[in-house]
Amino acid sequence: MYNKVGKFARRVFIAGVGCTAFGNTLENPETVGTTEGDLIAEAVAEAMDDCGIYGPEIQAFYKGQVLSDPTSDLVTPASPFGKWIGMNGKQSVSNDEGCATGYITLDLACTDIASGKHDIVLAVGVEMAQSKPIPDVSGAFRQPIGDTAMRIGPMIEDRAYTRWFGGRVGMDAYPSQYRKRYGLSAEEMDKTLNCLIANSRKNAAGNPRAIYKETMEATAKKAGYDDVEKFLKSVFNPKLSEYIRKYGMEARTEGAAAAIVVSEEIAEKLKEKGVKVIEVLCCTAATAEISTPNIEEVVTKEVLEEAYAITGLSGKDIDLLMTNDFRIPSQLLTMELAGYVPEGEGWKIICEGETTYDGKYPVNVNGGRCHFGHAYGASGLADIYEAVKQMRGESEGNQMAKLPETVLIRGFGGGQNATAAIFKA
Amino acid sequence: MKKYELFVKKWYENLEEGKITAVKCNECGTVEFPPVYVCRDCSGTDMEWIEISGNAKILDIMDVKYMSSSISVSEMQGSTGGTSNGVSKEDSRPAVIQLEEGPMLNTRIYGVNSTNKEELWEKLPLDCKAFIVQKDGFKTVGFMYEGEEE
Repeated sequence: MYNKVGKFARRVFIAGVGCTAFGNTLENPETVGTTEGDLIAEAVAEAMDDCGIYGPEIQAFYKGQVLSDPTSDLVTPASPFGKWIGMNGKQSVSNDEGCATGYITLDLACTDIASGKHDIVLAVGVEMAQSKPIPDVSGAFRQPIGDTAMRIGPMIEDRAYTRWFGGRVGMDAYPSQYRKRYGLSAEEMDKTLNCLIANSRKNAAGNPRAIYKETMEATAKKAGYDDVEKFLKSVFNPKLSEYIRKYGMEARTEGAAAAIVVSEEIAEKLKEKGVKVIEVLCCTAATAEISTPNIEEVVTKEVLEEAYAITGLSGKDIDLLMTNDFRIPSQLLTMELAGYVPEGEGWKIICEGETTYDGKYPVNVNGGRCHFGHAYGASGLADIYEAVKQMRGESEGNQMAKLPETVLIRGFGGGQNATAAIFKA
Repeated sequence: MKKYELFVKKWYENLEEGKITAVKCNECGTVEFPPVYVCRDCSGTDMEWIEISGNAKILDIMDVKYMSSSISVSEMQGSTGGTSNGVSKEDSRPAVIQLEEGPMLNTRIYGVNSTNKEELWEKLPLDCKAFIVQKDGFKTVGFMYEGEEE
């Protein structure tokens, strides 16, 4: 049968992870002058220190970046960075699968290890999506991204036909379908998505790497509101579409994240040294052309079905759900399709505040794309970073009280891909 | 070596002649719109060009205006939403439609605006009709909601 994937040919483990703060480098005098290499090096150095494995021992690296042309002025965008991380001369592979990039980068690294080709590889993602190069000037000097950002959306559509049909329904497709399916009023859907915003902000607020580090109460207060619900319905959180409001849309940022992936043999040696390795049970992926109706549901169902078939697990086994939510309804979609919550009940669970790091059904405990930030090629690996840190009990400011043993990570993005990976402590 | 017909070019040439076309798989009968070389259902490659009726159903309508959270409140308040396919975006909305011949796709539905969107959404599915839209230098396809039959 098409698109069905099998188990890894041998076991795969994540040994070390790293992640920079996500933000806008041009907004802070201390970060003006940052280059892609600086971000990659910072994330990779943390991952190396995390497990005690360094460049000479790592046999290859996989690098994800979405906007290597418009924001980094690069082709073959992996090869220049080997020397930045002590890996000059090692095999490098670059990939761009839109907002699914980081997850696919991990998939490539895991598949490499599972195949037996290498025993230690690196997955790293980077993006500088708030700025762009100044032509013919060093990468240390950058300018605001400006109108270049507006070109990005249409660039994921089929240029032959569908880009010209104007059917950019993705933002609202799931809320519209969900309302029809479960009989929610427009008001109830608005409340659900605003509660998702508040829950996500609570998750981000304690996270030192998140772009939004203050609570939504503090943000509302600055705008003169004592009531968060009223603030989220106000002109300060305007509707970008019928359902999506400003704080329910990605916060575009710059940053990098990395993971060092190893074979069982290496993992066993690391465990003896006290490194808390995390097993990757599976990586699945599916793609459909973007004009496919309800595409996010279509491809997500496919990858979840495959992931559960490989592992024998179900939504009831999942302790933490991480999901790409560059549009915040994606949290609700994944919760329900994954069987993490009962179908049709997700909106009530969200409104009860149960998706925060201290809730019954934690989702995107780093704050997600809308409140942690979205650095396209790095974001998937930032989710992986958070999952590993939570499983070890090492998250800062947003640690779940009971360490999650099984984590589902659902990716989505590009033109359009979905992925599913399941981690086991 | 098999010589392939340039499908995309032919589709646009057909639009210039006033014909909205698709391809039909001669092995299983599946219609592909817009045309592609390989049938999605049976992977057949014996595709025959057909002219579609233009009759379709609207399955969903959405009200998307801005694709970025970076836009400021003042920009939103001052914006008219621009134009799409030479028609004001105020008179059209992104939608999911299904052609009488079978294919479903995301597209743009004309004749829907912020005034009637919610009322029409409650009544879905509704009939619509394909039409040829002139863009800058080439033609494409749009779909029009023409109201309910008396």
